Amino acid sequence: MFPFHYHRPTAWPDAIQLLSRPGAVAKMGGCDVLTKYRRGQIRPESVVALHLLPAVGELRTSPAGVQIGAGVSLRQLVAAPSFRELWPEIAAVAAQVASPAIRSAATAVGNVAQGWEVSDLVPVFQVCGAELDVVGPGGERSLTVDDYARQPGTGALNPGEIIARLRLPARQQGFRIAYQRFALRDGFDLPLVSVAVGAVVTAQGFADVRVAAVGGQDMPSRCEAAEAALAGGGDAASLAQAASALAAWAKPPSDFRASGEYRRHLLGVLLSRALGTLRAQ
Amino acid sequence: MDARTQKPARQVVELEVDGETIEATIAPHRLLVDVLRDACGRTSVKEGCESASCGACTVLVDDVPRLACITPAADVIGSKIRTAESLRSSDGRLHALQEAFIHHHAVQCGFCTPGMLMAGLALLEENSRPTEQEVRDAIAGNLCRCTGYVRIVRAILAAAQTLGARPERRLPEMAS
Ligand SMILES: Cc1cc2nc3c(=O)[nH]c(=O)nc-3n(C[C@H](O)[C@H](O)[C@H](O)COP(=O)(O)OP(=O)(O)OC[C@H]3O[C@@H](n4cnc5c(N)ncnc54)[C@H](O)[C@@H]3O)c2cc1C
Ligand code: FES
Ligand code: FES
Repeated sequence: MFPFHYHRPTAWPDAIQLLSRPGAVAKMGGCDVLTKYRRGQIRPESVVALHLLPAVGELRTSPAGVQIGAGVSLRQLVAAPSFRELWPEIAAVAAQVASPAIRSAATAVGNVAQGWEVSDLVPVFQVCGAELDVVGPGGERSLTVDDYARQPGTGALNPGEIIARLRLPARQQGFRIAYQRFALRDGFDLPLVSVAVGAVVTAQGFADVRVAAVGGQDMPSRCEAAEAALAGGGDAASLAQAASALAAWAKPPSDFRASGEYRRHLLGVLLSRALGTLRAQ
Repeated sequence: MDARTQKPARQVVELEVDGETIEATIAPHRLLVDVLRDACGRTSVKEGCESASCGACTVLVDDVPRLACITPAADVIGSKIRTAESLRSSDGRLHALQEAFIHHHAVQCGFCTPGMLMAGLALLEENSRPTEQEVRDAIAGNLCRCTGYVRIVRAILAAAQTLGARPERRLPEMAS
């Protein structure tokens, strides 16, 4: 195996400086970065571990919002009663990711940071309006998970930049999330396609509807056409329209696991199911 | 200092493995799976896929299952590491999980077994009365090419019963 320098900074300025060097890659739980290293897909000059940085392990929950530190693992997130109470739907999705051994290393922020084309958490964060706080050589900035996920990998970060935390906004009254995924196996399998819906649900119907899908475009993305179809409150006709709009928007690939046509069909079905569970909740 | 031209320096570290303190000299990029096998003699820790996909390298780090194939050894200095070697007691008796694996024919080639045992142990330490689904979730990341899983699930459920029936495990429950 190729050797690398392994740095484990305990201060933010040191971490930023180490990561600004050419050939340096950041590591949190290592599920993505060390897997790529072991497969020979990357050959880093140095690996900079971020888990010893101040406050990265903090999970702050209050009705005004949630802050998930970059070092918080999926295991910790799922186990925190205060988080489960505020965002039970996200906790339920995180609890189904991969396996216990992966969840004890994998961080929620890393799941977003790695910029895979497939993720269970990114679409859910997209419909919640989650944001990332980034620190780097140029100071601090924030961007939405939706903007981050527009490019693959860590393309949204400049050299030396580190995501410090993910923020979930205050939960609107009546806001609900439904998530539906389809994978070839029940356990330990990434979804082929998945759909997350977030909406304020009232007796009159849906408001502020957000739809995000995995497997429809190159990256997990919001689907404006499906959102527009549901803007009128979500009567029966518009539910069907939204499902067709999502299927029409999707440009999924065909491979040995499923044809593009089948995936498109699935996306429509999953959206209908997700909307059904939102109603029933 | 140019990182590219300098070879990473080796360092002497102390690891706590199965209750034993072991000193090893390692390069900074060394992964736990290699250090456990080569420097600590823990050959129960298997390496199947080498990339987080099979669970054969599962060990417990501070009681939590971790994949040793993607864990830098430097990250677990000061942690309590447990491998399948820790299961057998000093007088040679097997752990109830090991006995159940034998009794239920949950072992064929044996390559997945240490990882299965550690995933099962982590579950039973957190949840002494798991349902079948909870057992299946606990070993979801552990692949077995031989048994078809049914016997492994059965063995872990049986071990839970055996452990639950032992007086030292019942006392806290009865007190609560
Ligand atoms: C076998 C396996 C199965 C999986 N199954 C699923 C699944 O079913 N569903 C699902 O959604 N996900 C799944 N995943 C993805 C998993 O959740 C992510 O790989 C994990 O959460 C990444 O977090 P990490 O801390 O391990 O990241 P790392 O591997 O440490 O880092 C990931 C990437 O992001 C960068 N990075 C990480 N943190 C930061 C930061 N704070 N600032 C800047 N850059 C950063 C790193 O440089 C690296 O490029 C699976 C992964 C594996 C290996
Ligand atoms: S060798 Fe570690 S998961 Fe396969
Ligand atoms: S017994 Fe052979 S892989 Fe499980």
